[in-house]
Amino acid sequence: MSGFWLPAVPLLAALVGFATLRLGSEFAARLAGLGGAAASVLAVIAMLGSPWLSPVSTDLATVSTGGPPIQLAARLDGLAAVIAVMVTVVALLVQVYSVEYLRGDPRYPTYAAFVSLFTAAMLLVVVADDLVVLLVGWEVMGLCSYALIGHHRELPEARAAALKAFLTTRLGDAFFLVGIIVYGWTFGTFQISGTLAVLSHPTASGDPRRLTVIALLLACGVIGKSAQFPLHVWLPDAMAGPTPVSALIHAATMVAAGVFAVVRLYPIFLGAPNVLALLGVLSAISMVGAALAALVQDDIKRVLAYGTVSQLAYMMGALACGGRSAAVFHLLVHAAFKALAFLAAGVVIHSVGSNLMSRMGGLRRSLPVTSLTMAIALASGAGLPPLAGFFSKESVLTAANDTAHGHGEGTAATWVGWVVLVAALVTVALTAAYSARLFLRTFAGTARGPETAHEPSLLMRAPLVVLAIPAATLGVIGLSAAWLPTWIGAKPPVALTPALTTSVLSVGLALVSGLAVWAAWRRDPAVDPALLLGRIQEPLRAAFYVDQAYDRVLIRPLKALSAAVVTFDDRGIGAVVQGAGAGTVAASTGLRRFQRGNAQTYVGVAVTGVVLVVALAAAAVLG
Amino acid sequence: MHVVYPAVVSALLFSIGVYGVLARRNAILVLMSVELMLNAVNLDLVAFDVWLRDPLHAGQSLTLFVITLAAAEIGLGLAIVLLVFRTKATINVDELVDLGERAE
Repeated sequence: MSGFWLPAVPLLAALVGFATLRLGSEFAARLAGLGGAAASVLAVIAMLGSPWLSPVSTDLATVSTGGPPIQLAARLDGLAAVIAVMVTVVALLVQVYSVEYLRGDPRYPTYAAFVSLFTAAMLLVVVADDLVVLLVGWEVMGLCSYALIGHHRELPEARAAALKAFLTTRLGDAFFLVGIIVYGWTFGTFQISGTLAVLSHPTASGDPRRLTVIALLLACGVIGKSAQFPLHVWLPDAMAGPTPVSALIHAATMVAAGVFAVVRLYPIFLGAPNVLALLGVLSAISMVGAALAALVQDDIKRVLAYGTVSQLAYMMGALACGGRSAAVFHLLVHAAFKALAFLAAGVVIHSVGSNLMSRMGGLRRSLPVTSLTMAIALASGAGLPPLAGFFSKESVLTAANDTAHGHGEGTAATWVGWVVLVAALVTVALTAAYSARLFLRTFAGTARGPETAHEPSLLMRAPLVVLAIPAATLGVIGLSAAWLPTWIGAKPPVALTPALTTSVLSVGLALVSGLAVWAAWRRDPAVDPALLLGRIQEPLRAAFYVDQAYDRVLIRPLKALSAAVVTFDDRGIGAVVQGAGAGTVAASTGLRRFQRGNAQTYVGVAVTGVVLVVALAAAAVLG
Repeated sequence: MHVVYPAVVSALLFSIGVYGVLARRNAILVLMSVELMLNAVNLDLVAFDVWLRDPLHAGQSLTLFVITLAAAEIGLGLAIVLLVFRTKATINVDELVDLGERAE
């Protein structure tokens, strides 16, 4: 099966959706569901064909450019198939869930079509075998994220968030594009698989400086897309979009694309240990910082959003330490539990009518299914055994631990391993704390808001139940070397089993901090456990004032510059234009006086002129 | 006959025409003066045609053109004068200044 079929199906659904916006929500919902289901079936079929044994390469056409040619190429290998299954399943569940969540929204048909387009773009990134093709999917995702985050375009914060997401990721994308150009310039082609096969050959040695430049530029795009420090600021604000969109962006698409790009181009990054070290440090900062910020947020979606930044940092940290399989493992598991957490949060928001946890509480009784699935999602995210998150987090910790002790698979220095390992362990404790706080504040205790919550219809409950299964059990796919490591083509395939030291340490930390939050909550269920943090709450709530700093350092000078440009345009260039007009009018006012309407005067002046000219000419000729 | 005679007559006729266009107030007399100027040109054309012995007789042909043109012009001109008289009850060109700049 050609890899291009995967993005083609949701793309078709999106195009038909855009063409039939007038047919109403009912038709759009069926179309979106059908498209999502067809894409999922295709992805599963692709997976069943064991693509890791015989990858299918498709080369539709070669576009000559004068420089390196662009190949319209796709490659369906094990990695692409695994990620495609994850993307399509989450997208399908989000589509099903959205039918109910956005019932009665007049813009639902546009929304459903954009979600399909989003899925198609992500699948294009997944199967692309040419960096330019990958870039197309990458940029279409940026466009879709803009449209979907700004879905409630009547709200100013939604518009601002959409613009922020677009511009922030675009900043990274500019570097990404330059990185692709340098890649093409260095290797003479934009093709991925062939080049990387040469590069990962043991005897091959690319120019390390060139590889560092490419990896650094590509890493900038990845940091923007995957919302890592310092380009993470768009993700928490993206909560202004509808909740299912958050589930889609945070779990299956967009942020996953960044991690996927690094995994796909991993030989380049392995050739640039300095860039890996930089990624490791940035991931450590993102991990701990975002988890701390998540501790004190009152908006349930912002807690989850900062959680996403911190979990993505785990994947980046794993990649920095050579843990390619660990990163993919955590990517898959995170997709399951984070999509589940967002969809469950959507149910809560839908029934309470507010995002704020200070208006929730005691929802355990009225929303039993939601609270159970949310508990699974949060426990999995906090890494409690035997849920899936425990295994994937362990694989990341093992990768960091191996690098720290000098026998990792990657090329990064041992100190990078230590940085990632320590940050990851601290984050384990913080994750448990914010997860416990979120659950206790929302589902336990007594109700603080209106007591009208009730479980939603089956369309919204079913995705929760379906996602709870992988969120709890997906951990098994890493336990045998013949499963996930073989599927994604790890060389050699090594089982991602938990190590004793790190497991004991991380589970212990998670339990201690989770129980500490529980004890604090137990003393007075009405009080937010975050209040215990005292005076450091304020900087945490503002996420260490990164936004304010950007405002001070970048946005205000930029706005001042724009204002200056506008003033110059108005007063400078405008004055010249206006002056030319005013000058002409003034000059003509003087000349107008002579135009009194008497034709004989005009003729007299003309005749006098002719006579004068003739006389002068005659004088010149004769004299 | 020397060419200077028709040339001088033509120049006189043309000058009378210019004077009429510049000095007369009656629009019909202005039109007649224009005719005088055209005919002065006709006289010149014919005279120089003969004097230069032009085998193609370009001067005579142009004269025919000018006569046709003058007939058309006077037809339109008189029609305009008639309309002006109907609307404004005058054909004094000094008073027909509607298109000009108002004195301030």
